[in-house]
Amino acid sequence: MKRMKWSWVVGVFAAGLLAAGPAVAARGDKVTCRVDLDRAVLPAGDVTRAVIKVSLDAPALRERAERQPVNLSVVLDRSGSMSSESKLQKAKEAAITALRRLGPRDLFSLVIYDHEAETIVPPQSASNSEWIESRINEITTRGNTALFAGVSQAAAEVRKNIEGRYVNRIILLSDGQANSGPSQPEDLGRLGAALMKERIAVTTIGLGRDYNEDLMTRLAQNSDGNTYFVESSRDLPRIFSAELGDVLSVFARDVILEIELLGGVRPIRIIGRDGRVDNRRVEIRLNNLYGGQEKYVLVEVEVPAGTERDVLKLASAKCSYHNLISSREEQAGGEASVRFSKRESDVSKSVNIDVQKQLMLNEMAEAKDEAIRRADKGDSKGAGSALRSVAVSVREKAKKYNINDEAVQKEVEVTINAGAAVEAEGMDSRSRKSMMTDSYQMRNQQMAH
Amino acid sequence: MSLKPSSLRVGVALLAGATLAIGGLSLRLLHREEARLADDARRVLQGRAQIIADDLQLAVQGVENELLNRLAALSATDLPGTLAKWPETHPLVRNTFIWNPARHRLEWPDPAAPTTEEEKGFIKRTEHLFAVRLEPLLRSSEGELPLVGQEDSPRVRLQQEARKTVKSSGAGNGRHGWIPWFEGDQLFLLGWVEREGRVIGLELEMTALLARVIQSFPREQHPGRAWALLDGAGNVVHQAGSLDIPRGGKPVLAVGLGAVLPHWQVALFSTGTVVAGAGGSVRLVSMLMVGALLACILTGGGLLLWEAGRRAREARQKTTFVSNVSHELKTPLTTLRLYAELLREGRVAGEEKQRHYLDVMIAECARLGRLVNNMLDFSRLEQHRRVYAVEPMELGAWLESFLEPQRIRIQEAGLQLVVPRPEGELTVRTDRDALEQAVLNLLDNAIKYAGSGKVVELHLEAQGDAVQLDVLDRGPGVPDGLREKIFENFYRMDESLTARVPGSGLGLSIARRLLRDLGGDLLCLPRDGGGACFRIVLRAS
Repeated sequence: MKRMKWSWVVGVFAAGLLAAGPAVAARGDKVTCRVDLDRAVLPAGDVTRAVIKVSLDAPALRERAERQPVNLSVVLDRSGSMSSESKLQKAKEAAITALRRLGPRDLFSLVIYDHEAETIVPPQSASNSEWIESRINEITTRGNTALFAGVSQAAAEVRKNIEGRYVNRIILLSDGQANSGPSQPEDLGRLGAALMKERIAVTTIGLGRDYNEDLMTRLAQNSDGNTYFVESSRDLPRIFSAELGDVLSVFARDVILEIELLGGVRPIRIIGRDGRVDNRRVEIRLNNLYGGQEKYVLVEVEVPAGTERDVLKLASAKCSYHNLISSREEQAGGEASVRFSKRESDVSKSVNIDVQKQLMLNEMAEAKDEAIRRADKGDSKGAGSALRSVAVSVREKAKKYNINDEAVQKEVEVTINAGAAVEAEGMDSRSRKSMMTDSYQMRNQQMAH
Repeated sequence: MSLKPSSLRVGVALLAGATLAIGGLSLRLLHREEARLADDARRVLQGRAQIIADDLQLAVQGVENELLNRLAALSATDLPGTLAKWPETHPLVRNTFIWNPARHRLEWPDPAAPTTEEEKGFIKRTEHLFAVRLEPLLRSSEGELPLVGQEDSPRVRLQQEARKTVKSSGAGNGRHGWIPWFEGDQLFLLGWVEREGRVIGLELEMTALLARVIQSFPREQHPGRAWALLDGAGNVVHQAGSLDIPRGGKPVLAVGLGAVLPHWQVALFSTGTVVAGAGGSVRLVSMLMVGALLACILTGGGLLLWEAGRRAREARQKTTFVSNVSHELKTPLTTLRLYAELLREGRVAGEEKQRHYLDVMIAECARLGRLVNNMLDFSRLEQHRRVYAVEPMELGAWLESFLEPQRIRIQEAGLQLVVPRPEGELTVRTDRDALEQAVLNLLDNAIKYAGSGKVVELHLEAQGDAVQLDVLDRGPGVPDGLREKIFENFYRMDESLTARVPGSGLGLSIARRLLRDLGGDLLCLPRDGGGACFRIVLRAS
């Protein structure tokens, strides 16, 4: 969804890049950092709120050969429930799909868990596919869901080669509630946060309608992995394949984005992400940047009153990352300025459609999270109507700024329908899962769906 | 064999008793052995639990010591900046803090303006610690923070001592320690070092620590058994082994984790007793052995008893036989001698009387001859030396000619002989002498026992591919239970020497043997209206 590029862009840094079309990475290519405002002109004389968007663009990888080798560990739930509807069979096929997409330089390991975790395939070159596949095919279902032990074991397997120049990834598949060992979303979230510091991202795939989406989303979010809600096990091979597409196109890691606020501008919050918000500084960490993908951060700020025709340099962003193609520490940066005007038309003419669009999508994502919170408290009527009203107001805003974007329109429609459904029938397990997953994918700009 | 069955019985009973006593004793010993084994197994498992616990403690302490050393070694320039970066780069550090004892307040993170959600949470859960508990704790400790009521194992203590000596030479000369902090039923570990008048510290990332240390947990192959790491609230944090641990289930044994993770335990859960497997099989094998021994003694003793009984019976029968035969021989001999003496002395007057005496003597001789014949036959049959001359025979004609010389004898016994003529010709292949002897023995029995019955009948008829010859009388008959027994060697229904009728107990036995040797049989059947029915079965040719 985010593969598309948006032609309307403010800022010096982006212009040249866009003229070149979709970027293709070469040894000298770098991440570009761009800072935009929701409006280039702000009303003069008042303290106003504005949204700063900092986008990070990584060029697409040119050849498979130049990509960084991957250290992948797949964690499969083999608990009793996986035997229904040939879930385990599909999961095994999916794991084999993933294995076949890897090259001889990549590492593959596989952990299964029931009451306890067991390493079925210790980390080794993915070229041993025949033996690995036979090991995978021997897996049968039994027992409980010791999800924490499973992820811990996979982390231990990945850690064996942590010193190498690998893109580290754990893919966790579960169809049930963790019921052995630490099983609170908070616990797994902490584990995810710790793994992120070790450059291990955990992608979580929830299968069917009985898994714990809070736990799975939190684990993915805190380790900067992806999350998926897969209703039918038939989709598993496709999802694994998409996920591998992401993993194989990692361009940069250890991404730290620092946004310095200038001229008395004060941060209010980061929209849709976790990060450090200081007095004049905002800091966000990302595990990976994928080639050909834009990741962005939206920060809501308070801008002090300015006078007519004043130009205020209000933010400067600095992004430091480890370039996996050139294996160098690199930096990218950008700045944003704003002008003040008393005329309403100046302000409304200066609206940045791209920023507005992302803002709208994030607003709806946050509304979904809020709806889940309210529904969990038993107020599904309020949750549904709030969700609907956010979507309606987004539609109004789109009309006002004359934004005819397909993605926004579709999302508005989906959100209104979802709100109406929640209002009428309450929030069932399926819609809760799909809302939470959608929201995360949106806020995190997950490429593969 | 001179062993008496009664004494043998006593011997076997004694042996069986002794065996049972041994069995009982060995069972008791087994019980004891089992208890000892269970004790041993428990001790081994306890030891294993202690090792697991020690490993966990050492792993955690290793992490703790390393973190404290690094904390102590941090460069003094921009200490707050470095500390602030730590939680974002070190997977085992969740939060860091700087406490100023002089001003009694937290300098980092700023309680008034936390910069992340995580910092907010940290400030909240450690509020009470920093406000009230920390300073007394710091004052009371001279180095390591003492914890009461938690015993470390000798191995862990030794290791700690070793570490301490190494550490004291390093950067961490100042006071330092770890504080286990419980908040909302959860354990948080905070490490601290005193530096330049301030206390700098960190909060350990518990889940990351757990994720690492559970890797050192052993695998459990024994089904129905599981090792578990339990937290302070008794929740299973990690388990090895496929057993389903019920919520709130009671462990077989548990070992505490000492001061490192207060109230945490390494516990063993099991479905059965700890050594059910080993003890059960030992008991089974021992029971089987005792049982087999007992069975051997009892069957051996039984066999001996049976054999002894059989021999005693045989001896008794032989004694009776000899007495009978002597009696049988003596009676005609006495008669012969008496009559012969009377004749020699000429004291018998009248020719007719003399003739009668001679007739009696001849009859007695014939009786002696039959007796001797029977005995010879018996001995030949016993040794399987009898040779048969098998030839086709027409039974009707044979029966008539055979009975002719017997008629007088039968009539003299007061019996009427009834022989209906059979229909058609009945031809069999058999030995004439043997058949005659068998029928003669049956007739002798009828004469001896059924004299009161007035009549003896012989029925000859074809029955399928066999020919039956029934010898029927109206004497006292044979009781139900004895119809097979009367065919045994030496068996007589009335074995007393003073029996009314003399006999050797061989006639029926010989008759049946002869007929069976020839492929036929001799049966004793009940007869309606009283009396005996002996049936000779012969194969038709």
